[in-house]
Amino acid sequence: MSTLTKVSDFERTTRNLRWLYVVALLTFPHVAPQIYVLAFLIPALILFNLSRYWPAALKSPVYASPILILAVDSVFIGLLISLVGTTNTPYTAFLLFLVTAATYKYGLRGAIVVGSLQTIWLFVILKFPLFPAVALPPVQNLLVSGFDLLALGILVERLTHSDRLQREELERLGRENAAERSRLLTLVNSIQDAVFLVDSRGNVIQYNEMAASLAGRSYQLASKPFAEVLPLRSRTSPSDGTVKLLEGNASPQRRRDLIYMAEHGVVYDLEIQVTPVALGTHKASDFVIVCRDITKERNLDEQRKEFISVASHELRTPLTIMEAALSTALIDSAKLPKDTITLLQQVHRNTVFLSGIIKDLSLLSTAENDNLPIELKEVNAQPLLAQLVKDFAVQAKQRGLGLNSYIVANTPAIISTEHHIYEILQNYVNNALKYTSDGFITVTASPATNGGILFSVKDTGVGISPSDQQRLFTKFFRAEDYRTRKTGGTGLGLYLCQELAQRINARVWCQSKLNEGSTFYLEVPPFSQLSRDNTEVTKAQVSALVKEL
Amino acid sequence: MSDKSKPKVLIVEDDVELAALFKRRLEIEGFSVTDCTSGEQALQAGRGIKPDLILLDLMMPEMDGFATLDLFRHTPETGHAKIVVMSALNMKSDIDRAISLGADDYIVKSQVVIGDVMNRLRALLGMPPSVVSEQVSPE
Repeated sequence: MSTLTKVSDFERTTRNLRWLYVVALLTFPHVAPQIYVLAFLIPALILFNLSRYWPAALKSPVYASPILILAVDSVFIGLLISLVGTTNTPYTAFLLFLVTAATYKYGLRGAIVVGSLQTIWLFVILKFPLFPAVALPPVQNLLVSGFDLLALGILVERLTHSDRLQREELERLGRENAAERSRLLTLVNSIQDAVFLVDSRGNVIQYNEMAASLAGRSYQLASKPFAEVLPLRSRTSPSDGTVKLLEGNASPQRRRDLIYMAEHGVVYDLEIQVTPVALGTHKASDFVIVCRDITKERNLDEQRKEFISVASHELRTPLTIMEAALSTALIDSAKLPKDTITLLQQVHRNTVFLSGIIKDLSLLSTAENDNLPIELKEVNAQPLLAQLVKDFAVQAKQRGLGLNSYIVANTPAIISTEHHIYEILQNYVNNALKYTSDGFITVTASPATNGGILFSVKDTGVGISPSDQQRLFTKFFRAEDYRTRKTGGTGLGLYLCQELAQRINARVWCQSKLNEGSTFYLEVPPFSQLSRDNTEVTKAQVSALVKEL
Repeated sequence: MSDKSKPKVLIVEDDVELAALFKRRLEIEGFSVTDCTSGEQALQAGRGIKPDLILLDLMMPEMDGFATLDLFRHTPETGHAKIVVMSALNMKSDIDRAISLGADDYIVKSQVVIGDVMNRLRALLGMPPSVVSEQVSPE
């Protein structure tokens, strides 16, 4: 067993035996009295070899070749046997120990080399003994033979014991491995997304059933290049595809813009997640690629967007006419009864309100379609807040609320899209007015930690419960129960804020306590980087602005 | 105010209802108004009345607003008139195209109330904001 060549295994296995031999050396020195000196020196050398030299030499070949020590020890033991003059001595078992040690260290080769050396040496020693054989009394003779057998038995037991343990451990690990593998396989195969394991050169190592069915079952995918198995193309730029996906990827990435054209012209929209597998070495990593079919999702989303776009467009036309007609009718309404005028004004006001909702909807559908015009220019908080307060002054006064703005010193100017910021703040103030019955609303601009501006709109209104806060920026969310609504609105305002904020890399969030009021935040970075196609324009605009400054 | 001193407005709008409404409103606001429902008609009328301002729709059957706009600009009688395009189209490309063809202003129908339209027309002609519109503005 090659694993046993390790020093620790060897030492553990032979430790008992070594002590046994120390005892043997001390208790069976049945030699002729005239060679006491020799009989003392040789065991001393062997003891030194065993306890000091061997362990060091086995651990590190710098000291000496272990096989050389084995040979030298064999010679020493031969001399000991020669002193006794017969092989019927515990020293014979010592030779067995050395052969075993050689087998541990060098396998069968070691056994043959040391074994044959010992055989020749023993033959020479017994042919020409240094002293005549000492005849042992029968009882002692029996004890020596018993000791030899015992030593041999212990040696074999230690060997097979260690071996058996290892084998059992291996079997257990093997079973566990198989179970683990089967579990993982089932897990991976029951995933409804296509999963590929790809090596650093881009070749497929493993894949699951969905992956096979996505790529076409007729293929054997393993060891084929991933780019060939699943040729991907970006929706937006044709040159961007599979190759770029795997290029220099140390961190996980997710893409939603890739499409895969299967056989027979079927096109899949895929969401692709690439995760590098850390192998714990300096080697380039493997990748796990998970592909989710989002064709249906994308179609639905497109249909929904189209519906909103068309519906809002179709609703606008009649509303424009209604508003124009009512507005015009009200101009020369002097002859009409006063009640009628009030009713007409009510209709007109609500028509304008309805137009506003539809405007929100259509703005939203264009925001989602990335069609909104984006202009980057320098934005200062001061005029922006002044305009905001001016716009809402009348409304606030009508509701008996205070409205003021405050600009913290050193609030920087930023480069962004002013009308997006304004639209978001308008929404915030509008909400604050709607949900505050008394108190005041404060609009603040202060330097943000990211170097931009942090806007906040604080009210003393009804507040928002923690559960509602989480869903606040989602589409069509209304904090009130729809059956008991007191205020108007589509539930689109804050969602629109979120969409607009995303377009200028800004962040929106809110803090609130029930019955104490809410604060809505908008954090705009110093430079709003625009996504994808707008990047070129942005760069040009920024450099133009820098020149101007 | 006599008819001659009143600013002359030409409305080009295929939606008869909307055209009639604008005509009525503009008359109340003190303009002299002519309305046409097609581009061809409008070009003919434009040569006759020499309008100060033209309110032009974009989506019309046969000759569309862009073509009409281009022809207005290349006709001596209407070449110097203020032209305001009013359309349901709100794409930036459409707006840019209209401006490059010589429109003085572009109004997206859904984004304004009629009072705003009046004020923008008046501003283009160097007139003060409408008094009547103020009275009915919401809230």
